[in-house]
Amino acid sequence: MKDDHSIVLKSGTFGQISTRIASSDLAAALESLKVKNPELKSAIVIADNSVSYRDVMASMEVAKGKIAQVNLGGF
Amino acid sequence: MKIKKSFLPQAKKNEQMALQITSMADIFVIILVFLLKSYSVEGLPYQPSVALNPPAAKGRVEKSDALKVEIAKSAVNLGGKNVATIDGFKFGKNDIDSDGASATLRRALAVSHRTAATGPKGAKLIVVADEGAPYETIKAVLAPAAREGYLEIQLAVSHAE
Repeated sequence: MKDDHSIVLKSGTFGQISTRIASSDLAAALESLKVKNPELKSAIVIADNSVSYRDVMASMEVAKGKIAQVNLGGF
Repeated sequence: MKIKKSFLPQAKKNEQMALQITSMADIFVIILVFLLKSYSVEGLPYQPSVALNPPAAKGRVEKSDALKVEIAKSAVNLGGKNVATIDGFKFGKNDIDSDGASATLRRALAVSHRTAATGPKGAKLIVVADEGAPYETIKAVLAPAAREGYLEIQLAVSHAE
């Protein structure tokens, strides 16, 4: 999660596929990612230092609606 | 002529039926105790020891009790006691190590680890943070917790209907 309220979605075995989206498009982007990768079962949310906890939790909630296991990372 | 006995009108027997309710009463008492216990947990309010406004989230309500770390704008409390004073969600620069973890909080978490409730993965910790806290502050709390062996960390939110 970036300071400018955008989100960079990283997928692939080593996170090599990177897509920048608006935070409002997260649900649709995850849905499409799930269609392409049905085996997708977990995600890690990492945020820039200044991103508010409210925004982090909001994104986690959206992600939890699409992916079974969502964790916080970056520490 | 013999008529089969069952075809004749039978005289009503003046019998009083006794209902045995002892077992049923026992079952109701057990159910009542169970319901009372459940409701006492449902209604268990949580009042943070410091003024803060957790983010709202929908989804399932999971009741859990464990050591709580509360992150407010000017203080970090652990188990209801103030362990670090922060200024506008910022830890002092001298308190943050190279990995962004709070040294003061790490010491407090190490002391509390001995008495903390444990789950299947390890010691349990519930993080109750103000919604305005920057992720930097959340990391400064989560990093020392993970290092001190709190491997079952839950993030508390206020439940949005």
